[in-house]
Amino acid sequence: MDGSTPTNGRRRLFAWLPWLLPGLGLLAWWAVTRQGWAPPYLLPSPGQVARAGKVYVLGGQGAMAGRFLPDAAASLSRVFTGFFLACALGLPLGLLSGRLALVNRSLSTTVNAVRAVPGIALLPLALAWFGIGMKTTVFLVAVAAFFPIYLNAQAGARGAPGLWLDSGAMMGAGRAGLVFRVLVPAAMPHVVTGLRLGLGISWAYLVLGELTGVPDGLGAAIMDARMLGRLDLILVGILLIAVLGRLSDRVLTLGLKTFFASARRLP
Amino acid sequence: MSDNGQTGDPPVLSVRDLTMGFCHNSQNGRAAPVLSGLSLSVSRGELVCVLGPSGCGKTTLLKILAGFAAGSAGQVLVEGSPKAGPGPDRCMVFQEDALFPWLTVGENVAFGLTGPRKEKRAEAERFLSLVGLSGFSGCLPHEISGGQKQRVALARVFALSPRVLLMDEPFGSLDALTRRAMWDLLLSLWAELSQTIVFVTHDPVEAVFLADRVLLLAGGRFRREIPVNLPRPRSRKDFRFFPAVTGLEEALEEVSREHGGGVGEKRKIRADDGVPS
Repeated sequence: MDGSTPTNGRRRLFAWLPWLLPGLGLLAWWAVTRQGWAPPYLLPSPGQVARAGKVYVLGGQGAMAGRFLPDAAASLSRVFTGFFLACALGLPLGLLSGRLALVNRSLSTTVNAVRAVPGIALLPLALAWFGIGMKTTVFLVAVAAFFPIYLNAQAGARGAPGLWLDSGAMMGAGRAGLVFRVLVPAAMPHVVTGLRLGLGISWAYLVLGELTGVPDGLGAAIMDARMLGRLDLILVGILLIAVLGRLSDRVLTLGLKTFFASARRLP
Repeated sequence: MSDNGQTGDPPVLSVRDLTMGFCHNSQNGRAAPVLSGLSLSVSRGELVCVLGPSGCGKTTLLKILAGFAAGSAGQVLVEGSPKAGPGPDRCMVFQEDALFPWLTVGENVAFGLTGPRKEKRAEAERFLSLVGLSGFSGCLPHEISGGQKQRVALARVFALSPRVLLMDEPFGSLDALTRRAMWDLLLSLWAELSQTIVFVTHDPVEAVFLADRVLLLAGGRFRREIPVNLPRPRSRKDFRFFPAVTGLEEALEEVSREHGGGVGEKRKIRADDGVPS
């Protein structure tokens, strides 16, 4: 067998490789708590966190029992509403400003100035405008996710080879045809990057928005756990956000690959 | 075949007093005209080669004919009506690979076709088999060779049956063997589909092999028109073939000397001016 055709063993190794680092981390964590190198009130053991997680997810006796589903539903709806708003604004504006100097000139200074403001600085303003809850969180998520989506769509549109646009126009594509059949596919690698970065940032700002006294959501759960002094529940919240964030990234890339040949057939 | 379109049928493509303002050279701030008062007339079914040294404005001329760029003065007419902007009546085969990498070979050929999906697919399949690529419909462009890509590029423009087919050194980046195969393919398609072709090249051998007549472009204008009267199908083994090439080469050298190649040539001459002899 030469190196270009993966053997069975090689393929199996590749399937397991992503879990190596989490596995090692878990092992180290277990070892540290087992040996008593860290006191339980600073680092609860994996077993304790697993038990707390089971109660949080499935219900039972104890604080925050069975809150996972409503919390996850609240968080997911906030993330996706914010992310959707960011896409609805960022993609068209980004593509336009990548192609039209007029749009770019009118937007770039403002966009880059607002981009320099840390999202946390917008929190007090958002609280004053929208109050505590859904609207503030969605606002923060939308603002934060807008920039990577906008900037990458812009870079993709700007980098779309004139040769492809000329070819499309020559073969009879009109203005809309050129945008949807040539420009968007040509910009797709950048667009995908922007969307993935945007979704990642959405989760970060979700938690920020939910730390401010919202009754539900994963961020709120972490905050409540802190009030109760339950580090195991804080860790449960963190791990669940990691899992949901990773899953939503997979869903996003799979969805793009399903609906766009240009995302699927990158050489 | 060497009828220049002045008599009989109205020309399919005609260009009147085409001028392309200036090409700004960012390095020295100087500006030089690219095309000045150029006229051209191509009749139906003709294969005209535009031959010239590099930098003489060949590609600029094709871009204006295709509508990708606008001349600063003059007109491009297709079958008598003036044209601005690109359209499927004037299709171009580029030197570079211009296929859409996210579409399969078949989808690339079907891009400009209209009608129900099934018919488009059948039509694309038909033109792919005309260029010798039947069975490649489902491949992606990065899975096929450079020569095959140019075959697809030919298929996608022939499928649109444009009034005029514009070719910008389309085989320039292919190896010699593939190149000759592409010449044969182009000539067979041209004969079969009675296409009108304007073919830009800097290779006199290519021009003699393909053209009904050759137009020498230098200093922004056509300097000479040379009909190629060799019988078709042409062969490089024909004892008249290479004398025709030599004749063309000499004419090319002569006009380049008289008028300069273009922007690049002129700058060189200016630089040499200062050298004491």
